[in-house]
Amino acid sequence: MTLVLLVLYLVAVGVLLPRRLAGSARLQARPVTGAALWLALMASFTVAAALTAHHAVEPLTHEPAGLLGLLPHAEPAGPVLPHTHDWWLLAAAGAAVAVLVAAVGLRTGRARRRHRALLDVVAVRDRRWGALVLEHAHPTVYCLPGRRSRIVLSRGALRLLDERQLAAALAHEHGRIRGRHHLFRLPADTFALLLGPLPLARLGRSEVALLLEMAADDAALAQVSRSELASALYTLATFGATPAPGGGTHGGTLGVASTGVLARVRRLARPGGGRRRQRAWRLGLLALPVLPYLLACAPHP
Amino acid sequence: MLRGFGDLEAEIMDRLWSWGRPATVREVVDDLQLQRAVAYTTVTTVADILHTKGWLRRDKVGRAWVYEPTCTREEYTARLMHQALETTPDRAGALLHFIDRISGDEASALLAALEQVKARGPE
Repeated sequence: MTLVLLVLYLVAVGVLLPRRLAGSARLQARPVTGAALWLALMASFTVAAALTAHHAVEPLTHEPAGLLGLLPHAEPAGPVLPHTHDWWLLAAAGAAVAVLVAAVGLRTGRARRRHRALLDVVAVRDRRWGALVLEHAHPTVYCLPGRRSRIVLSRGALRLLDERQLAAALAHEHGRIRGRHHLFRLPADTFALLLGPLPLARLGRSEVALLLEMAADDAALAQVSRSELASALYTLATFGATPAPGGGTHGGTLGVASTGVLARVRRLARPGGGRRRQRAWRLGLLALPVLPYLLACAPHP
Repeated sequence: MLRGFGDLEAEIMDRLWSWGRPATVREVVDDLQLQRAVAYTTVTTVADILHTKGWLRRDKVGRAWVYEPTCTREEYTARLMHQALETTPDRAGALLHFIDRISGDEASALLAALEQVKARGPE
């Protein structure tokens, strides 16, 4: 029974909920909280999966516990142990997760350091914009996050964008570095590497990335206007692309499959998007990872 | 110097690239000293580091080492841009982009969205 409940929970959190949440305008209104919600769901899924394994290995030696124990249930036949967990099981599961995240983090950090070493020698410092400039015709703006962060502009981007658009792009990158967005992406990336095809992993990773872009957009809006930011996005995204003749006819399907930039510009057109703090939301996020435990294992009065 | 030898590394590479010919440490030091004081031994050390890292190759001419970049600046730049533009999910998070490219089909939808933002007027 506990096992069935846990499996249902895994299906709900791993498959059903992600499909409903992806692209949600309510999450996009509070992008950082939205990203945190996805991470909390991943954590919750991980806890539930560990508990499922635990209950699958020792199905009948437990007395029914948690919220489930409050329901009327048949007394198990045979000898029954009180519902306890060895502390080392918990420690081992926690350590395994930490090691996995650290391994992915180290690998990403190594790629980042290698890129930065090359960058520092090859790129030219632009004092006016406080960025490194790469002499390359293709327009691009990106950043290397982390403690020794760098913001990079290509010569093509300097040529293509006007003053305000450049200011918008750089403010976006600064917002990303200040918000330490790479630390949000790390657990999502790790989860996606391990559980690739699962909707929570696949959608979760891209949604976390998109929501963080939106959070950085919000940070940029402290320095530039919505239309300046939107036009910077448009100009860079459509470089070299020609609008399809009679385009816009399949606007309906695009809403679902829209790439990041389209969702971001559409969001800038929506009213609101101001910063709102909701403590209840945050508390709910903290509770999510504990929920499967409460459901299946917590001792009841 | 905050970045250790980093700044000096960049300055040395910068000179060798712009000269476009092999040069000795002496030549580099003389040129650097037009701008600021720098010790000959420091430049020798950093040139040696750059050689170990594979940035410079060197040949002995007479009693002095003559240094030369292994790749052109353009080659390194192209390598960086390649890393910056590749979008394998494996590398996600190492570099973060302001924006990813879109297809031609989406451009018109994007233009419509941009018009909507502009229609909101300045705030």
